[in-house]
Amino acid sequence: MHELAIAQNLIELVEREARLRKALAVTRVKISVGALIGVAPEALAFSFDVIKRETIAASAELEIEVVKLQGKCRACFMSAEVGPDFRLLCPACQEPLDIVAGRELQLDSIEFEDSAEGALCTGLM
Amino acid sequence: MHRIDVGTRILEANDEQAEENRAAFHNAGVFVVNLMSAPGAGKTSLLEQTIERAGQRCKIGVIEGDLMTTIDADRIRAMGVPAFQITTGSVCHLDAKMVHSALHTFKLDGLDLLFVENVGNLVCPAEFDLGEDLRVMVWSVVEGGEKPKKYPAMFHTSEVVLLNKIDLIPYAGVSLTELTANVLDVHPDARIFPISCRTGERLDRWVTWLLARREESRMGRPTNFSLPRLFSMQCR
Repeated sequence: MHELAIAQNLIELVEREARLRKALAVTRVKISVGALIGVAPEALAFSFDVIKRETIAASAELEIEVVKLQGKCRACFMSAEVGPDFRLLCPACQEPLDIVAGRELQLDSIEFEDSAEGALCTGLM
Repeated sequence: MHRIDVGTRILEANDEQAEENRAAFHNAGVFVVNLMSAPGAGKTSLLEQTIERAGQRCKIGVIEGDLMTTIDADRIRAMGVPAFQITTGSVCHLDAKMVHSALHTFKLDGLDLLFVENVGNLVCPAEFDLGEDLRVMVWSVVEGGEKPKKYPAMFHTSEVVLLNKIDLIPYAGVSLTELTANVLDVHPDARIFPISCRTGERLDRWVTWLLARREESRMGRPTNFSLPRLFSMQCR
């Protein structure tokens, strides 16, 4: 299951960002997953919960935004959402669509505490 | 509490290793093909047929990826072609780090064309850039015509779709026209080659195209399919 490999990569990125900012604890991790990416959000969330143990993100909540598949027509430049049938053809002129959104697998943001007082308030210490 | 925007691709570490691999391949003058498919679609048979037709015109090497066994690498070596087997254990795809590790042992010297036969899987390999020049997938006509809609990422990111086992079309319950249309729906730019690795039908066309494509890459001519571009999509 490659969601485990993806969760491992995600935690490593989060740890790197936390180190750079001298964080004590990461409380929230927000990611974007495009509709075309072959990742099941539930499996990724489960993998994250396993991998985050005993890391700086041990208490972090994971927020996953699923990004819809969007295309732009090469001929008439119309933007169109691509439906579940994945037909990359413009609804107006039937020319091919280029994908402009929906292939993302991105760490968007993290929330963290960098002081003992802050960590105490959020129940992390 | 602090919040910071990051905006980094989660597989950035793989992307960076893939770019290192890409540079190493280019420096060695080797054109690299990432070959993917579902299990049993005919990747290794395709390699055997391609080696038979192109092996005299360029020096070929193969890196094989499987969970277990060296069966596929053994088949390639039996043809006198250098092959290296990566056994992943339980990992369902090859990644850039595995290919990089293989290159510590498997030398590129003298090679013109390297095939990396990925683990048989229509989902995970699509997400991992290995540093290749060309992505090819093998789809056999007996897997069901709706496959492109069920596994759009794999079809969408492959420059070439080799439609294998066309000798079985009379028994497959689906026409070549329908199969081709389903691929073009999810990937309008796909180059589709109907072939049969069992009978040898139409393989010359595929090999001629492959060698021309390699020549274009060697001469630095831009193709209209940029692999690194696909992996650089950021949200905002």
